[in-house]
Amino acid sequence: MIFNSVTFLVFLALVTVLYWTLPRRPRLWLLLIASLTFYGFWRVEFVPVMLLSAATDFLVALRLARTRDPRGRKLLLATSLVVNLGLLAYFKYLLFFADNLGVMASWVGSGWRPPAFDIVLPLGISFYTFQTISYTVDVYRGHREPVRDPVLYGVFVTFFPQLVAGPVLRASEVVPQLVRRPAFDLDDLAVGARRVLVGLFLKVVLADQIAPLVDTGFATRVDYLSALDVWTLAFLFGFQIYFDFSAYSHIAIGCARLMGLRFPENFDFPYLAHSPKDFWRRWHISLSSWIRDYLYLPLTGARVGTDSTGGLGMVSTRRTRALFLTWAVMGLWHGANWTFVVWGLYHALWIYAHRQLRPVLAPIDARRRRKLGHAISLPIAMLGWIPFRAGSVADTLAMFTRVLEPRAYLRLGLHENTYLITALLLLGCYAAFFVWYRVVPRLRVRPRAWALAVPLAMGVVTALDFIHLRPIAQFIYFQF
Amino acid sequence: MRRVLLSSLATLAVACGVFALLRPPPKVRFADLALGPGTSSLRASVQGDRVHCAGPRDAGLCLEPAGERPVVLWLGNSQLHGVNQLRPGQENAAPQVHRALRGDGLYPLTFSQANANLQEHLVLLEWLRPRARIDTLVLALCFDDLRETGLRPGLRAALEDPEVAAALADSTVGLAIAEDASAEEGQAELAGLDQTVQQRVEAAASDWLGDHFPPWGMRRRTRSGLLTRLYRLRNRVFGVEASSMRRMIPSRRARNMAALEQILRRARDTGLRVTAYVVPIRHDLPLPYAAGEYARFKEEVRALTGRYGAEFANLETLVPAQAWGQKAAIRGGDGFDADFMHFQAAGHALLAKAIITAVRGTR
Repeated sequence: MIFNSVTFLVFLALVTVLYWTLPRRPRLWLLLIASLTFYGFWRVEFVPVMLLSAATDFLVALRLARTRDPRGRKLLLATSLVVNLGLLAYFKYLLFFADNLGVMASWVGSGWRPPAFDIVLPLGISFYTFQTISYTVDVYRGHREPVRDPVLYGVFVTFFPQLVAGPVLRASEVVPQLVRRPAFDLDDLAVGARRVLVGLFLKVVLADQIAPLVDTGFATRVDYLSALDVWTLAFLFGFQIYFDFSAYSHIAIGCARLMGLRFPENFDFPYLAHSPKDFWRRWHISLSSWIRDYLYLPLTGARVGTDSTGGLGMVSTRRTRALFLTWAVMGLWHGANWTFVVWGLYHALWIYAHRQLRPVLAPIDARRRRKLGHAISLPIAMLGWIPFRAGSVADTLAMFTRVLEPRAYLRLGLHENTYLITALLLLGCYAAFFVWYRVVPRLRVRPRAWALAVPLAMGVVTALDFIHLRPIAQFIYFQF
Repeated sequence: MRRVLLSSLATLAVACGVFALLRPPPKVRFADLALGPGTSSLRASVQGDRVHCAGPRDAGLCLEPAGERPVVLWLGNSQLHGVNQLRPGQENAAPQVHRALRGDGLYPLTFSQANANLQEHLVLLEWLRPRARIDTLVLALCFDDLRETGLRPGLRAALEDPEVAAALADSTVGLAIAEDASAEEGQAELAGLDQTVQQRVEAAASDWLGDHFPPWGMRRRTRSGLLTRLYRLRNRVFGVEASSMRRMIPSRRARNMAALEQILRRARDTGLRVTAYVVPIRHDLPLPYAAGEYARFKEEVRALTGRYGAEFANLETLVPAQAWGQKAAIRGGDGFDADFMHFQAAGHALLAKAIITAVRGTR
């Protein structure tokens, strides 16, 4: 089921009403059945794949709690990793590996061609496998006790708001809330509904309207693009993916809130970041925290966190090799294509360069350093979206080369509206930041003004959602 | 509890108010909404048979009466169906051409859509080929339309025809058009749910809402109305008028010129007579084009038509100043802009005469 549809809104309303009318145990059953229904609306045949991943980790974690022998524990952990990463390898990377083997075979003059595979990527597999892996690793590390109730555990893995595109949650963030049986609070319902409406606004009013401009721009042959066009497309896609993905997180957080559950925030104005470290503290926070705790820090031997907050910004070690390896994996997680590896390595290089430059910038006073950092970080972060969206590594390199050609700044190759909309969106991001951190706190302390401002803003958002609500495009992160 | 309920009711009231404000007036015809007040859309019939259509969706109305008669196919943009200051009893060029050439044993049919680009003409031509006995092609070449790209939904559907797909696969530009159309199709409503349970449920829910909740059915018009308002706001803020200079978009221009070449190549290879002409434009005011770009365009199309043995006519100064008019300002409000593209009925009479002469000249 996709969020931007009538079906989902009806489903959500029904589940919410039923949820609050049932006692605790049936509630868990309701959430489990609702989550499986939610997933089955896409492809029912992939429900068993998800259940296999979930069941493996449930059983492995129970055995881990009973096993003291280090070798046996490692074997159990390996079982979980083999099953989950095996599923990922088969569904997500087999075609990629086969294609690359075919290319390598042609280099050595062999005529071998990969067989034609017909593999459909199960929705959300990258998310739920990471979630179940983190659960088993946490039990292995002794950070948490295993969940003994299969229904409770099933809800943790399959809970529909976060099932297909995150946030990637830890058991410690969800399970205790489910056990506690949240009390009904009308404010939770109001806040949850508002988050859902804002998420829909970001998706159907902004991201889906930008998408045709981005698609047309990236479909244009690179020869026809000027340097300013490449910058414009980088910014425009940066906005599209931000609106699209943060929309999903808003709706996920809102749905959970409707059930009285609180998910950690996944975005915090990432384009206002003043360094790569700051950017990754603000962008897809739950995934970057996961990567930090289950990949990067183990590779460097540093301390490991226990929740999905902080992002990669918490990392402070000097291990360069681990940095690049982590980011190559981060890139591949996003998609089985070399363009995503280039994207990952681009970010690794940015972080590495920032670490090297930090001592040089230290004498500048903090306020100026932040402003300068933002002025530099924003274009670097945006340009990083080029490999993420471009059709091939060759196109990526051609577009990167274009921005380095001074003469390529002397012409324009896109429709005027593309530049105009990009500029407006950039201004809009600054305006939203200003409103959220300056205007909203002031309004909140004036009950009358707040009581007027909320319906006014949400009324406009609701009307625009209603006009634009169409299941025309899936969320970008569904493909990961 | 009371606070939350009041806030929810207020939100709903504001939402209803915003929706009512954005809803376009119900009496405006969709085709005229794009042309703007001052210019009317007219697709004529002769002796009860439609001779002027838009595209594959209404093509049956024109093709059925044509039967096996040799068709003169006239493809163009809104200049062909738009008439400035239309008065009762007046008509545009299409029925005049039809009546005149029908006496010569030919059956002229006109197909036109607003801002139709040459890629769309290529697809429409390939779609019409197996459905009509096309003898002659008259192609309107409008410099403005080189800024457009892609296929509108009605034409994207034409790509599902295997003959169209095969014809497009014959050229690089055809393949590119098909590839882009397929990507655009992926953005179509319900496309993201293709072959899922939700696709069926969603379609049923949407149909039910359309039948039982009128505002649901008004959403498409409201979206268009909102876009029109944003377009006017942009024009007002940036001082854009009908006479403002339009910059060429290199990639789109190249794609459209490649489509033109493919049309001419296919016509030559299949023995189709072709007359291509540069469309009339208002010359009593400075042109909204970069002079150099426009001159280069005319030279290029003259050379291309010559290379493929097609007839070429430059009709840009055909319609005198008095046959042009004004239209509602594109920035909104009560003002007027000069209409550079759509002339009055007198201009259509001149265009019809020129086309009749040109078609007879090819025989």
